[in-house]
Amino acid sequence: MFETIVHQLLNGLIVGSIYALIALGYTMVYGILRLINFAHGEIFVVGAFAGLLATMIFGDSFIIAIIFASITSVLLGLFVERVAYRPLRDSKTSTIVFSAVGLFAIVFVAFLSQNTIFDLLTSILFWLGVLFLVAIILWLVRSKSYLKSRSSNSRINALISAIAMGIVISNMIALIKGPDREVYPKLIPEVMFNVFGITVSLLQLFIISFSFVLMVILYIVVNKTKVGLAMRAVSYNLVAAKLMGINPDKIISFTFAIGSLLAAIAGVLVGTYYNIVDINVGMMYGLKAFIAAVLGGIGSIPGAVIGGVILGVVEVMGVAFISPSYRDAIAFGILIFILIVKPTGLFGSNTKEKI
Amino acid sequence: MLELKNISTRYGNIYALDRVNIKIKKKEIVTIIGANGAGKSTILNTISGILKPVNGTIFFEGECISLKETDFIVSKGVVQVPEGRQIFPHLTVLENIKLGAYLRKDKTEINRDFDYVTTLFPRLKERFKQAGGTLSGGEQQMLAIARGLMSKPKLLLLDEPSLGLAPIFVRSIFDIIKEINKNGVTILLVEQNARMALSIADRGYIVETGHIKLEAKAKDLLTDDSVREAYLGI
Repeated sequence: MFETIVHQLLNGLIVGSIYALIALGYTMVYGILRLINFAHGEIFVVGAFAGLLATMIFGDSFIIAIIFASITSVLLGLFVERVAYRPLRDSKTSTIVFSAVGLFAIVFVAFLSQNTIFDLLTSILFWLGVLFLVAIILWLVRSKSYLKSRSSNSRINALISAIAMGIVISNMIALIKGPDREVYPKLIPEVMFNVFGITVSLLQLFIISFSFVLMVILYIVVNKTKVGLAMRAVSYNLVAAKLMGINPDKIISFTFAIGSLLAAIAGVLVGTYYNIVDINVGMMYGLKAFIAAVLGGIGSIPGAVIGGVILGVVEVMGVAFISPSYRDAIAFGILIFILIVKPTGLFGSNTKEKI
Repeated sequence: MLELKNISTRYGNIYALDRVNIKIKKKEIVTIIGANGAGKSTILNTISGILKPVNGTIFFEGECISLKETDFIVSKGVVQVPEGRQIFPHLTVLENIKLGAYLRKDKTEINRDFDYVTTLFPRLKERFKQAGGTLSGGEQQMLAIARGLMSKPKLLLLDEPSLGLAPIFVRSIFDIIKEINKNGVTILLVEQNARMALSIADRGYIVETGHIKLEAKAKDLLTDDSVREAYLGI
């Protein structure tokens, strides 16, 4: 019994480290833009696939896979920021025109990724439904816009844009490489250790320690470097940061780059840990990491780490001792619970919205 | 040194500034006084590039800066100490000061300015490790000015430095402004405390609902009857 518990704890810690790596991307972007980057889960999947592609070309090297995945995801993250979010921050771009273009892109991509006529028809119906829904939301937002400040209005637009971007990317992956799952190579040699009667693999130890090292590096970057200081300044007060001579666009791009880098690494780690990668995991991992970020207090970096680990451990324990089918229910239950009991999360500060 | 020509700025469809003309010469202290909502802060934010004018041009040392981004304008030496201090409350006092020098790479000069700032505000030195938000209002104003000075300003824009301060602090802040000016920094001072502002300024502009209503030597404004009645409460 004791052995099982320790074993599950270790599993939970691994899943939790992965969640934490992805959650950091959510929480940093939220800290600066007050935006949930719903395309982040897809950036994680793209990282996983880019790593896989690298192993197909260059052979099974962990380092090359990580580098290739990181470059791809960082470029994609920067692209998403540039295309889907920055235009919405500039007041010059009409947000309605922008949303329409985004929706058109979704529908277009969805058309391309269907195989049969039946699929095509259902997909048209589905996207018409989505279009209708978004149109209603936009209409509601617009008609009430005199009640709301401009910033909260453009935040809703950015959120819609983020969701759209996530859908576009996931369909693009399906379009480019096909919708099948792929086998992921083992990039870390299979060595087993026996620690106090518990078998641990090198891969497990590696995932935990590598994630830990990355988090420490991130902590140093954010708290001890000039660019980290600028990041914190921008997240506290954008206008004051501008008056210091900080170019917020550069800092925002930098934040997206770091978040995407961590997501790419998480993608490769997940692939090599489960030996399989599926294009649909992006949304689920994305949502779980989002829950982790909310649990820890969105906007808080230590919160994302602790939230990720707690979520991972609780989930794995639930799978082991209750039932595997409750895995997602547990995670979303935690989300609902935390939103009711302490919406600011474990480490979140209670910042009142200015009207 | 700085020249605003026919500057108009608006929030949405409402004009906040309407064809404003301001000229500042090197080494001057110029003050802009006016009531709440007259457009004083809007003038400073337009100069700093936080707001973009819809009309007109701004020249700084012969270069047009009216549509440039704030970081460029700061790098040219036009530095704003914003209204309400706007220090970073979660960052330490030292980090706040460091942020002022964000764009600068000249290490030795940064250190010299750092020494200058800490001799100007010895109180801050005792509180380097403290979070900025824990300082008193007067200390926060000192921190905001110190942070501005770390950006190596040629022209310092001060927005309501006396706002919400105890009278004893008001006096010392104005003394410090004079001292900064003596060290070669040109100053554009926006104030509601018109008497204090005019007493240290060379020239003054009176703003009313987005227009420049009057421009004159500070001495003359202090004795002008309409100004005395409207802004000095005599």
